[in-house]
Amino acid sequence: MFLRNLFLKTLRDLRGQVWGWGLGLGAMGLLVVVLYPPFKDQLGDLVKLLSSYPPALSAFFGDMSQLARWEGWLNIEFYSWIPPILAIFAIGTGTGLIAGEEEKGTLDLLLSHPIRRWRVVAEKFAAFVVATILICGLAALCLVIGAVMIGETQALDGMVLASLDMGLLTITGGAFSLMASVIFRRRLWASATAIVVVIGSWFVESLGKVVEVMEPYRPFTLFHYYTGGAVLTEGVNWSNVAVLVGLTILFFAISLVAFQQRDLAV
Amino acid sequence: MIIETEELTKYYGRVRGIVDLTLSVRQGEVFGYLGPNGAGKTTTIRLLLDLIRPTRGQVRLFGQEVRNHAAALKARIGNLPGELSLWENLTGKELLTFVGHLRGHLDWAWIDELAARLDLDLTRRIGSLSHGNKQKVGLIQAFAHKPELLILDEPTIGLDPLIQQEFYRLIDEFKAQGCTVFLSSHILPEVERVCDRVGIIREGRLVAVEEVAELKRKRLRQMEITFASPVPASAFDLPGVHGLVQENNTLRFRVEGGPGVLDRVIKQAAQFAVEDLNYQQMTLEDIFLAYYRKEGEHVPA
Repeated sequence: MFLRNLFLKTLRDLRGQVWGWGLGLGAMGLLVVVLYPPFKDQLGDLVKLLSSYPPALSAFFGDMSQLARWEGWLNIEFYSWIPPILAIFAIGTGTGLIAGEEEKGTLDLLLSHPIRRWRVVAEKFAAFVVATILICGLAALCLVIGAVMIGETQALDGMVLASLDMGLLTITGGAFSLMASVIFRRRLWASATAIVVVIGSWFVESLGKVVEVMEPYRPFTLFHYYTGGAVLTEGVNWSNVAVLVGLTILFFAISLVAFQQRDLAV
Repeated sequence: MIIETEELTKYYGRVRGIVDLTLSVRQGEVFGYLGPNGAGKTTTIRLLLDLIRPTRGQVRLFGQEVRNHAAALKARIGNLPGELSLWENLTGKELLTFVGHLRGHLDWAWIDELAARLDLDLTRRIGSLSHGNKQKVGLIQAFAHKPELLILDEPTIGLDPLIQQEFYRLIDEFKAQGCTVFLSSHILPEVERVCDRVGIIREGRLVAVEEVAELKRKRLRQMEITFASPVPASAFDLPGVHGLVQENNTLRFRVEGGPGVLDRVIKQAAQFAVEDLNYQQMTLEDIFLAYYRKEGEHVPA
């Protein structure tokens, strides 16, 4: 069944990553959830201590006083620091979709068959999108199961939406990585560029909250449009979603056009 | 014409791929494409398949321009890439299932026959196969849909002699059914066995195209005779003898032409005391170089 087309075959190739990343993030999520009850019991003094942390630390790790609330706890302990880790998946997989097969030489074999170039890019990227949604879905499932286990059931839908928002950011990062790999042809260069842009954007966005000189650059980063755990308290920020979807479409479209024009590397 | 290229040129930046390659391959013909490594054979094949785009010039397959009809044309082509890379996590059967779906149809009876004839176990994971067995998977995926045109880049590399013979029989069968074959090779007996015509490419340029029958007729051989005492080179200044070199008691030269030429050389040699005689077939490339070095660098197709 998974060999019926390139989309399913790519998904099949990604299945190890889906289980690994999905269950790995899910396990981390479960740990964060089950640590909440004992933490809540010792809140009083700790919140005072955390609130006295310098603003620079808060900017990087989130407003520590939020930790007193369930939504804040999830935001700081999970949704704030998982996306830069998930960016590793986005960059590794995004650059590998085309350039990986190209470097191995299997793209010559694939394109010896009657499949159009744009379909190769489209089906492979679609498989990456589905794999990312499955990873974030698995993580959300583990979080929800944990939340039900400890009786914190007030924001279950928010947890799912925040996880999907994390997935959207990952997809945008993957689309950029794909575009870089189609333009540079070599995975190494594509990865280096994507690391600078995607991971760099996390630094700029985080530092920009406290370092005034970096503040104007925040809107130019991907992470600026990631709502993440704030979805739990403020709901989905649709304008942020629109920006990420728009950028994803742009990066994907450039990948399609660039791959249509160029030579396959030997 | 099944394959037509017109002043096809490819540069990778400043690096030469191929230059002004004009070539035609007729329907039902087995065309051998020869040249040393780096001459531009694989570049030509990748241009034919639209994997890379020409710097200038044109490629037409089945009378259609490749660039705009690539996917439709590839439905009619079976290709074995040079330096074959396969998806190593699949078994042979899984790989053929996948490419069969890309083509829209599968004839498993034919695939099983191919696997049996090439002696390949399709249930094994490709990553665990030897180089020769991987090459067989590559050949089967090229033959699987009974294409009208086969484009094969060094198809017999890694195959043992018995399987090579089976491969030649398959080529004969495809040819008998009207299939056109374009294969790159550097093995003279292989080319003589299966090809109707050969073209040789050197430093990116097509230096010659010749009927195999004509090459056989010319029968170029290298001869080396060692005599008991020095023999004047002028004694062998005979028709059909070229490139005469004398070294002490030994004479080396090329013999070009049919049995009559050889007969005269032997009779002349018999005038002297012969100690040793070495007579060998030249490689096809040597033959071409011997011919075309004297006729100029560039011979149009």
